[in-house]
Amino acid sequence: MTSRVRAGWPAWILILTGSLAVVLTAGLGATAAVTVHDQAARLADVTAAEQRLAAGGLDDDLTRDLLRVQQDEVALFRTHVDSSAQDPQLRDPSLDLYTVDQDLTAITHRPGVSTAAVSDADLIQRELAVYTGLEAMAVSENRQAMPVGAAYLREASGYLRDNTLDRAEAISQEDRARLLAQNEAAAGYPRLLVVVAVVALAYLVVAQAFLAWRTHRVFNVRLLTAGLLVVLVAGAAVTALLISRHRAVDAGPSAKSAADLTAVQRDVTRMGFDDQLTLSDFGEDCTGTISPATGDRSTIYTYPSTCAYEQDVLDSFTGSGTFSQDLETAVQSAPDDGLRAQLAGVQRSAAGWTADEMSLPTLQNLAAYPSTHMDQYPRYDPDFLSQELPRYTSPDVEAQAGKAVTEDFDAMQQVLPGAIDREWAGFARQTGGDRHLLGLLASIPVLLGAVGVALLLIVASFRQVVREHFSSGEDDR
Amino acid sequence: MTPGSSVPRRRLLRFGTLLATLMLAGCTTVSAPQARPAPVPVPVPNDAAVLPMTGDTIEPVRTTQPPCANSPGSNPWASFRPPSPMPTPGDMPTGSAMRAIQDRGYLIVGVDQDQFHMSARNLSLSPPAGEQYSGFDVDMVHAVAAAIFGKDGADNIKYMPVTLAYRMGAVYQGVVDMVADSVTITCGRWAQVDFSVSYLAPGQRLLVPRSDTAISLTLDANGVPHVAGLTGKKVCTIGSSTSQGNLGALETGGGFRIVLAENWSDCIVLLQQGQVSAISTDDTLLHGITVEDPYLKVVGQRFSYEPLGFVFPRTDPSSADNSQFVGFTNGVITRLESADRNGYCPEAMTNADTTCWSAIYRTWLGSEVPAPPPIYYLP
Repeated sequence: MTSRVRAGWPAWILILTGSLAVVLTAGLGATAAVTVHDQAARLADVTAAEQRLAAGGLDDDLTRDLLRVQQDEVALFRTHVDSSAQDPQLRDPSLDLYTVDQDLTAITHRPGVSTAAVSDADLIQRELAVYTGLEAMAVSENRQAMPVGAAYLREASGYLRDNTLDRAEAISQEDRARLLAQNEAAAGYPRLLVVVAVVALAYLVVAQAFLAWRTHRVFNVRLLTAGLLVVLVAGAAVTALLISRHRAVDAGPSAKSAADLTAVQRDVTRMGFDDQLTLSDFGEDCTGTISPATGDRSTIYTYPSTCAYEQDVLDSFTGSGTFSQDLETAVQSAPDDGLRAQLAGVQRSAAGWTADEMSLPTLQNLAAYPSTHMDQYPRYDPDFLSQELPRYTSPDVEAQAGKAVTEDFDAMQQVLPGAIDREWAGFARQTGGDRHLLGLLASIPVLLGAVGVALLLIVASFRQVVREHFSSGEDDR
Repeated sequence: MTPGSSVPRRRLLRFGTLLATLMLAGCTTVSAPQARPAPVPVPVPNDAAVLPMTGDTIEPVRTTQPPCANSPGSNPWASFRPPSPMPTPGDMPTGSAMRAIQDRGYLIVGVDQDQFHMSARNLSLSPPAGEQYSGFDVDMVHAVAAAIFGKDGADNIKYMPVTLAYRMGAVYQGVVDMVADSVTITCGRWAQVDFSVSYLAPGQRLLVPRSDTAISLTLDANGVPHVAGLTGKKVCTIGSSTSQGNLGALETGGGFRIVLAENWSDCIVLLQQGQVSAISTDDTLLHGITVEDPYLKVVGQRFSYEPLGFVFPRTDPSSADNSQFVGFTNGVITRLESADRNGYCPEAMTNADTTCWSAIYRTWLGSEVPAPPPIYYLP
């Protein structure tokens, strides 16, 4: 090309203009790569969390396996005192503990595990040592027919319920919260990338105009090609991110629904556990008062009694209770009528469960019975004798009452885990899963390659002009 | 290429590399640092809690009671006189409270599940009918059932397990015919229920680990208790029992705090785990605990007098104040404490046993059999 450099501009302006073009284009490349990488990282995190949270995932395994430990410990305890509790399928609780240990190891070794989750898992491990010690005492004392065994069982169960299960739930909760947050972030617009792309492109247009003015060449082919590549890079990155965003937006309701269903499942698990404790401790978790505390023989006394575990279940079922609230939330977030119909079935099971709860042989229910029969003597009341009394005095009838609430629990278990599984599967389908993730990751080197070529072209174009500047004899003034 | 032109290009390259490295590093997942171990929570049975100080004053141990306005007579330890003669077992008088129970076919009795050797669940597979519970209180109930139904009357008992907190409620609300649960007869409780005459009179003492030599309790010349060796320590007892009130009076002088549990088994757990230094209640219950755990011992003198009675609903369609059934039960207690060896006795009597009562006592509470408590009837 012939030298047609316009005089009157120092060389450093030319170099600065070229340098800025390089920096902005490199910045665009870096921003595009980082944005796509971030999106891929979010989706990878979301996919990993989804795979854990879906039925059979690590954290739910932990809660389920902890409950199994408790179930088998209670069964082992009852085997020595209750002929109706003889279970040929009884598992050795030490096998359950081994499984829990594996769950904890898997949690602490998963990628991206938080400090809080590691701390919780560590604490669960050490709490289990306390728990198993208490259970061993319970079984040992019970084998020797000592009543204190039941107290150790109560203490162990309460310890597991109030400490360890809460910690297991916290680990799971953290995963769900992280998944929802990452998915929400993935559903955001790539604003920074768009701004950087617009600025870079605008600058390249200005640079093109500057070079055209300086060299009297209307078009600088290299710079023009570089600008075209920048447009392609920005366009491709933004398009990929918008597609990804669209998938995340579409998958959001499934994730929300799955998380809400998991909350319901957690409540049901908790209530089932509470009922199990109610049935295994023979009502010794009940506290009572006399109202008024003092009086004479003309005073009317009442004896409100509260059994901690049963009251927890009843409270959950009330309108403002945890279960009712969580179920309502799950119904509202349910993405389709099929799931809503299933949740209506859960609601019906809850009504049955509440009724069955009132039939459990607890002192709370016993104390409440006479309040509706104060005009007669319950011990001579035919209804009391035929319906109420046997529950409290016959192990067989007591076992039947326990069976009723267990069936309510089982009815919900037939719906919820499957529904949660389906929602997570829907979520995985809508996010595109690993394939989409791989596509995003594969686009990064392509983007960087295109930006690299653009950079070379920009450098080449300015290099030529600078050379022309010096070869024309102009000096830097 | 001019020598100087490569410098800015290299710098640009370095800057770009640095920028990209920093931005990519910002989104790289970093393994969480090792968490600092958090302390493991200490298990507490049934939310047992330390009570606030009561500030009650210490009084001498009394074996008499001031006049009571709630009981039918001024003496709260006096109860209804038995029918004379006592009805024949299996043939209760028509229209009587006992007949209603006989016709129903079973006696409903509220019992405790974990007062070992007094009233405790029989922890064996498929215990025989009537033997689902055992202990001194339960033997006494067997005698009452036998007096209603005949020799095998124990088979006609329906046991309803009650907690200490609800045992008075179960009686007041009439869901049981009677409660046998080491209930101390007090004037305050007469306001809610009826009592039999006293069938056993333990006293409150302390239970400590066998290795402990510091804790003791003595009565001074005026019968005022003084406790030693418990400063800064905790003592477990149960709410809804007279033990709590008796212990509260010693709290300030003894420098200890009371931990209130829901039942005696929870207190044993607390003591075995070292969360409390002693348990305090009737020495009959403490004896049962030492059978459960031989590494514990009862120490100190008795610092209360606890006449125990069966508890009955105040009302009954058959008789005012339920006097028929309560009086009938008093007759059974009186017979058990008499030298009559012909009637039913729940335990085998040896030559050393002058009464059925002493045979029951020897079976459950030790070979040193005291005299039964005095029986007071209403005029």
